[in-house]
Amino acid sequence: MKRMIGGRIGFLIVLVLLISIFPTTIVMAYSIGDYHWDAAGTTYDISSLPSNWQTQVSAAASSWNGSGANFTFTSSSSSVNDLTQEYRPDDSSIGLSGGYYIYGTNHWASCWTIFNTRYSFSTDGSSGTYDIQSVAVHEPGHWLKLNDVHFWPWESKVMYFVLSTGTLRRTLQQDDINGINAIYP
Amino acid sequence: MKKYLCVILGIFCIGFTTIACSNSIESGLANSKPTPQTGDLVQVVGGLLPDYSLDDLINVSDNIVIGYVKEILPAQKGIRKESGSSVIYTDVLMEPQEVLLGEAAQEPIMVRIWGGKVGNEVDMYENEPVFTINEQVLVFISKFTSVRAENSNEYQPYYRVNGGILGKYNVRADRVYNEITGESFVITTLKNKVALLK
Repeated sequence: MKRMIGGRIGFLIVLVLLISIFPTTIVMAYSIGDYHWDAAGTTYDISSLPSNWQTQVSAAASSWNGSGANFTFTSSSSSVNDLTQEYRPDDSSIGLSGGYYIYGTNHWASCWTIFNTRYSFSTDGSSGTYDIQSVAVHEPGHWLKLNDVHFWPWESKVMYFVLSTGTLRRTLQQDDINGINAIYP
Repeated sequence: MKKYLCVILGIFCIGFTTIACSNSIESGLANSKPTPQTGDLVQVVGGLLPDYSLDDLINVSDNIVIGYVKEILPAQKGIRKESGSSVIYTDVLMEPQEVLLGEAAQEPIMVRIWGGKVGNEVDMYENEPVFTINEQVLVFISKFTSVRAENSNEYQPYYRVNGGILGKYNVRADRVYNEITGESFVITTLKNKVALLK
């Protein structure tokens, strides 16, 4: 009888250990790249954007600055990292962001963001338009090397990969904050 | 106890063998995802896509096509008509089997995706679908002439997948499924929706 109980307890311990190995990456509702900025901050240039967009982009940058991570965005018209608008009829992205690194290193540098004006934008997420601040809070996540997250029910996270018109998604969720703090502790 | 451990170890062995086999099979096929090498200048691009439903994808598409990926052409540098900015792109040639929406397409269909490797420059787009030689796919596409090859003055037509990774499905018998979202539906359902919406 003792042997049987011991066997079952042993089986349960092994089972729990095995289960605990696999869901680690699933439970973390953020995804990070394997490269990052060397410095604890960078600048960004929004001078070519309309003034009401600039306000919302700055608010989005402030959200990330307030995440507790060791990284700060600072606005500067002389920055090489710019946010602009461009008409790209053959690109489905509402907003897109890029950056560069040399493969084999993990030193990330020089980023850009484009708001694709094939779509309509607004500063209040009006019906049929994309809210500038909701897009603007997602894109710096890519600058920081947070990747998109794809799985339902993660649609409240700013790094979720799609956005609906008429939707405000401006607030960092705990997983977004955990992600950025994991990269820049 | 030994019996339980044997069962668990057996399951793990099967799992790891399956993963190892699938990786080796995958690595033997050409796909459209570029592979950087040490020292390459890599640009990584991410973004935000519209939350397209199936109805949305049908509405924004010129064509919906089922076919096989026949060939993946070497990546090229291109110039955008509207902004003059440069882009690295890869053209994927697709052999159409069935056209669910739009006119019977040219053969083969040229689907253009952003990204690729030219010299020591590599562009990687997280929202672009990845195509693998010989895979059977269903794509929601539209025709454009907005990007020309850097070494040409002519804007040749090409197709783009609407919704990026949302607009490409893999075909399995009478169903299709999206590798990224996990969404799946029966092809007949799509045909009925197309008839209703278009």
